[in-house]
Amino acid sequence: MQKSSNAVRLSQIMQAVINVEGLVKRYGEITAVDGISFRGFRGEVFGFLGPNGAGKTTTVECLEGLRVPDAGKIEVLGEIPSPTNYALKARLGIQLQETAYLGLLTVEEMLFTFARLYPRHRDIRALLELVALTEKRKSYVKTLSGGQRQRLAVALALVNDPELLILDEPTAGLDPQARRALWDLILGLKDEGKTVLLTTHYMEEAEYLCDRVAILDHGRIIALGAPAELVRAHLKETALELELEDGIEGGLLEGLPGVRRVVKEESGTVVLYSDDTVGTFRALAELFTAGKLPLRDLTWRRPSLEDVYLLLTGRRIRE
Amino acid sequence: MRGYIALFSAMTKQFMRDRMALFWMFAFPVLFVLLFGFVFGGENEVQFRLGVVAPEGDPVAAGLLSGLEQISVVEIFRGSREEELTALQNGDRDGVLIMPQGMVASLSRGEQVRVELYYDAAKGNTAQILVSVVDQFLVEAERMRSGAPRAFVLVQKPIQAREFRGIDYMLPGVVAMALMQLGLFGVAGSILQMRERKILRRFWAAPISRSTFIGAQVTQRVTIALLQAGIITLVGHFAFRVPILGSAAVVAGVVLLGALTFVSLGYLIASLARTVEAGTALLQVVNFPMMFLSGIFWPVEWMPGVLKPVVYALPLTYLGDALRQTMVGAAPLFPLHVDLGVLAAWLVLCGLLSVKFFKWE
Repeated sequence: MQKSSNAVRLSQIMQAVINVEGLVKRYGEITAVDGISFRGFRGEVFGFLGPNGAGKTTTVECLEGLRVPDAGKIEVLGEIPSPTNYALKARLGIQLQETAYLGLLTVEEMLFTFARLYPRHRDIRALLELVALTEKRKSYVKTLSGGQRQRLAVALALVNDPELLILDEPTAGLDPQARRALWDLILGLKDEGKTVLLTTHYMEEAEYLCDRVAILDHGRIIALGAPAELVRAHLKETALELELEDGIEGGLLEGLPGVRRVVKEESGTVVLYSDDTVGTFRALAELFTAGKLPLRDLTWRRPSLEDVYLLLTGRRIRE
Repeated sequence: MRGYIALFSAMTKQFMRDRMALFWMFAFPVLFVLLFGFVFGGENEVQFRLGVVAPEGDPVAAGLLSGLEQISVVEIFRGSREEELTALQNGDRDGVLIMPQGMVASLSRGEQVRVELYYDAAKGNTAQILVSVVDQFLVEAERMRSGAPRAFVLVQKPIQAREFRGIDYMLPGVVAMALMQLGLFGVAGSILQMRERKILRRFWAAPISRSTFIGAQVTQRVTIALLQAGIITLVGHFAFRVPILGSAAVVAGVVLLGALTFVSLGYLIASLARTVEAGTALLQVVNFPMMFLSGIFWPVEWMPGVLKPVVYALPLTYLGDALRQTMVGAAPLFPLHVDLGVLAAWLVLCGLLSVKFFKWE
């Protein structure tokens, strides 16, 4: 994996709050995490992106001290996580994937219960306000909707005013509106100076939220960097999508300046990947003027993280 | 300590707001007591309803009547021959005694007086007892008339201090049942669910030790157990006059040990079962034999000999016995220290196995 000069520079001025080297975790025959190394810096939103079963949850649970790794070194906030490292747990804000809570406690009681498990805690009223659950504070937890439940999970992760927030699939299963609300909440926490480590299998979430992303596949990090940087590093080409009225001569587009690859999708759309956008565009314009290209529509887009994932794994990320 | 209190209070709220839990832990055993109380709460003493047809103004008849009224087991009804015989036909009398006219004259002539006793032969034991009671009464009346002294006197010396009713036997049994079910369903059931729904895991991510969590859960459930035992006992005492003979402290001590034993059995079951489904099946496998083989509802002696080894292996047998002897002063199956010793052994055994096999996830 090629480290960009930018990341190296950042690592020198920024303080690493997470330091993982060669992390391995096996469940019987299966190696869930297969030698992961990365660093997380104070104040950043760091994302683990990958499909289900890539090792995201196992990795964060090792960081949280909920699982004991089989090999490798982990340092979180200068401490070594373990099931009994209560001093570290007190400084972490943890949201687990798909957790339930005691359903017959009210939202407020749930927050107070967890608040008392920590040496210090945030003001509960302010916290309720922050996650927009003030109106629901007297409702039983079991009556909450999916989005409200996730916001409660985030509130519980924040209750001890943690230095590092670890959110496992915080927006899984939410509708777009609820997801957007949670994104804004997480960005707000970043503005407060919190460090956030999150896992997701949504490309757009990683692109929108994360300062840096580690793409996980089969327990390994296959790419790491800022989302835009990753796209630039792996895909220098621009994608030009052509909608055509009729078929055209074979080989006509392949020879155009800058064109590296031509993909004809089943829908009829033709995608040109070009490393010389202007040159390709000019040639297309000439063909069009000469009447050789029955063009109905032309769109230009920059490749996304999804394309990077596709390029690196040969698959799309969707479950 | 703050964490312990927070967990204790959260668990209490969760428990007290769970209608199903409340039903099984409080309403269900109380319903048992009420049911048993109405069915088995009656006095064991037999009461005979005896219709008496006697001629008016006959001094002999008056003497016999006042004598009959002295017999505590007989309730006297007066009426005409027709009325009383109809009542007997209808099942409203156990027997009808008919005295003839002119008993004074007959006796002065030295003739036998024939007193008729009608009874329902279909009533078996009741009828036979009634016949012998009336016969005995007449023999006694005759002896008094002749003035002959009694050569043999029967002095009654009952060994039980008082009459023991079904409900007196069963009330401690219901307390024992409630304690067992609290351990099985209230502890094992709840842990299995919290584990499956990853609630345990979330608590475990917070800076609290497992022993704090378990400590809060055990003490919370034991508190419920004491409350349960108290409510069941009070219902039995006030609704059915079950006498509570033992001291509250001793009974509470037995309840405490019993609750801890079954809570630890609950932990063991939660340790052995991996899923809620497997756990529920295992709970029933443990629950049913205990309910019906441990002698909490009827004496162990009633059970066939082949089952005795099972009966004497079940911890509930010993808890039921300990509660019966301390609460209502029933004749013990085992000395109290044996009961408590066996319970303590179960507690230690389940506790150690749970520590070895318990899984948080």
